[in-house]
Amino acid sequence: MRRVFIKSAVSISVLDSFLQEDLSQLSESPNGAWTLKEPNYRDYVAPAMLRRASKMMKMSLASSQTALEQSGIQSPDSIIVGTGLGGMTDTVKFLEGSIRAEEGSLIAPGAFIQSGHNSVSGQIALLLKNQQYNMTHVQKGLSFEYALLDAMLRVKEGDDAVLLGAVDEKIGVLDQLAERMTWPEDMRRQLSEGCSFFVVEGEAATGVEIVEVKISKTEDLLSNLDRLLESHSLNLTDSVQNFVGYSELPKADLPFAHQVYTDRVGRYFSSSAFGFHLASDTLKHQGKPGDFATVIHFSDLQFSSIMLLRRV
Amino acid sequence: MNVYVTGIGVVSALGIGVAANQDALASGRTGIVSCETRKGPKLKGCLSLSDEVLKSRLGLELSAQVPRTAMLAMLAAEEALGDTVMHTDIRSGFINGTTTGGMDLSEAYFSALYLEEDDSEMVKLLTHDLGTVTQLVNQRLGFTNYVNTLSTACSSAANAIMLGARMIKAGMIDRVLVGGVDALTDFTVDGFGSLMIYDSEHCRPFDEERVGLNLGEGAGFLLIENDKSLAQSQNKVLARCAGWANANDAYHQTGTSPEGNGAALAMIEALKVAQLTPSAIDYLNAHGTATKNNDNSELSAIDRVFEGVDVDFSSTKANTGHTLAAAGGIEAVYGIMSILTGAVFPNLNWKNKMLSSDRKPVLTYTKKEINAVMSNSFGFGGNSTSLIFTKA
Repeated sequence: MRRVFIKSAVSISVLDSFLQEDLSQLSESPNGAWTLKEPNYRDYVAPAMLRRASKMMKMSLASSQTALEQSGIQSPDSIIVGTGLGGMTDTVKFLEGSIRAEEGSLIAPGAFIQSGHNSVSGQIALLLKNQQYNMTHVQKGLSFEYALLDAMLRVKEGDDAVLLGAVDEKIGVLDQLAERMTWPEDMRRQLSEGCSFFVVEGEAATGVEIVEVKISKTEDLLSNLDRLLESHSLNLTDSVQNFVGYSELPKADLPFAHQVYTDRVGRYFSSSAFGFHLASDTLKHQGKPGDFATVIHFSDLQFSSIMLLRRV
Repeated sequence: MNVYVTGIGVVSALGIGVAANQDALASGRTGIVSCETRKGPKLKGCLSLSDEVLKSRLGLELSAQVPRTAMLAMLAAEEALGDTVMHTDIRSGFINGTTTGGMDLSEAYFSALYLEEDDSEMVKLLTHDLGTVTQLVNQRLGFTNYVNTLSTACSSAANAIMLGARMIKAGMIDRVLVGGVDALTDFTVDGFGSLMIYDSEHCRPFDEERVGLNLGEGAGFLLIENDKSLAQSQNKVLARCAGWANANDAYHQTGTSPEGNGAALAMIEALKVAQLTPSAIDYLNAHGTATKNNDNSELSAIDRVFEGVDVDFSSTKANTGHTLAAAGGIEAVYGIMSILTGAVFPNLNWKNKMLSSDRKPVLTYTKKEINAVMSNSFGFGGNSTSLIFTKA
C-alpha cells in the first residue's frame, strides 16, 4: 500500500492563520471574539466571481489556490471537499426568494446554483479546467475525516496528488438556533467557521505522513485510541501533542496531556481539518523523524474520530 | 476483489419496492401526476403516500421529527438489507447520497416565518443537514464502522455506489449499503423552475421537442459485499458491480458541454475498470433528464463512446421524474432488475428523433438476455458518473 503525505496546508480561521508558516506559533484570538480573519479576496478571486460568491466559496477559492501554489501542483488528480452544512448563505437566500415569490413570478437562479453542497468542488474544477475525480462528503462533524479517507484511498489507487478541502460558514440562523435550543454555553459561545485546504500526495522522502484515520463509535473512542496506537507500537504519552476538538459534545475530562483546538478556532462541522493542520505544522516544525501526533475529535453522540500523523 | 450485489431496494413515484417498480416499468406506466402547490399545479413524480402514512408504515411516532427524505430512505434501505444481520467480524458501512436532506421540514419553518411571521417551529431546523438524515436512517440499520453522506447533486447516489465498490476493492470494508434518496421539496421545484428547465407537460427524454424535466422523489439502495461477507451472510448474488468512474465536465456550473466531455470520460473509464468493450453493454440506462442541454451532451458522448455500436438505451425519468440525488440509486436498481428479468425498459413520451444523432431510445418493453448494464448519472458542478453491473 502506498503511504500518504501532506504536501501543503492553508487555513482561514478566526486566528490569523492564512499564509502562516507554522500554525502552532499563532497567538490566541481575543477571548470570545469569533471573527473570521479573512484575506484580501481580491488577490485570489476574479471580480465577477467575488460579487456573487458566498463567504464559503471565497474562503475555499483563496485557500485551495494557495495550497496548490505552495505544493507546486498545477492540476491535482482528484478534488475532494468535506463540508457539514454546505452553502448555508445561498440556501437560505434562495429559500426566502422561493417562499416569497408569487405564482408565475420569476426567481433569480443564482443562489439555487450556489446552494449545492458540491458547488465548491465543482467551482474549483471549473476554474482549473480539471476533469478528474471530484467529490463532496457531508457528514456532520466527520465531513473532513471522510473526505480525507477518500483522498487516502485515491492515493492508494494511484493518484499522485489530491486537493483536499474542508469548509463551513456560519450564518445568523445558526446563532438563533443555538440560543433557542439552549445548547450548552460552551457550544453556543464557540459557534464558528473556517476553511482548510491541503495537497496530499503519495510517497515522499520526508515530511508528515498520514498514518491512519479511524472512525469510532463515540463511546469506544478512548479504547479505540489505545488500540490504534498499540497497533503501531506507540504510546499516547510519547506523542509530540494530542490535539482534541469537539463538535456537538461538551468538553470531556481527559486523562492525558492535550490541547483543545476548538477552544482556539471555535466549533464548526469541519473544524477537525484545522486540528489536522495544527498537528501537521507542529510535527513539521518541531518534530524529528519518528515523532507522532494525534487529532482526537469528539463529534456527536454516535460517532467520533482519531487521526494519527507521523514525522518522517 | 469481486463486488457482489446481494440486495436491492427502491421507492419511487411508481411505488414502494422492487416488484411494484418492475410492474410499472414493464407496462410503461408513469408515476408523474399533476400536484397542487401554493404556486399552482405542477407535474411531479410523487409517491402518493403522506408523511403520516409513511410514519405509520415505518412504525414511527406521528410526532417524531423525521424528514420525508429519511423515511423514503428507510423503506428502500430496509428492502435492500433484507434479512442480512450485522456481524462483528464483518466490517460494514452505509453510504447515502442526498441533496435535500431535511429540507422539507426546513422550508416548513421558513414558510411559517416569512409568510405568517411565526418562528415557533425552529426546532424543525435540527434535522436540516444531510448527515443528520443519514444518521436517522442508520439508527434503524445499526452500521457502526462507516456511516457517510455524499452530496454531488444528481450523481450523489451513483457516487455512493462507486465509493462503496472502491472501498471493497481496496479491502477497506467487507459490506456496504450504498445508494441515495431525495424527497420532493418546493426548494428544488422552484430551483429548476428558476433555471427555466421545468416542463409544464410530461417530460420527453431524448425527443427533439423536449423542453425540460419533471422532478420526482424516491430512494434506491444496493447491498454490496465481498467474498468474506458473502460467506457470512449467505445472501444470493444478484449481480456484480463491475465498473465505475467519476469525471468532471469542467465546462459550466449547471450546464454540460455540447460534446459531453465529462460524460464520455466517465463511461470510457467505467468500461476500462470493468474490462469490457462498448459492444458488451446490453442496456444503457441513460441519465436522460429531458432538458435540452443534458440529453444533447449525453447523446453526443454516447455517440463517441459507442461509435459503431447500436446500444439499447432509454431514460426512465419519464416514469419516475428526475429524483435528483436518488436517481443513480433508483436507476442502478432498475439496471439490476434489467439483468435479473432479461428485459430493457422503454423510454416514454418519445416521438421525434433528435437532429444531432442517428440514435433513438428503446420504445417498447423488450425481453432479451442482459449480461451487462451501464447506468449514467450527471449533476451540477460538472459531476459525471458511470456505473456498470454484470450478471452474477
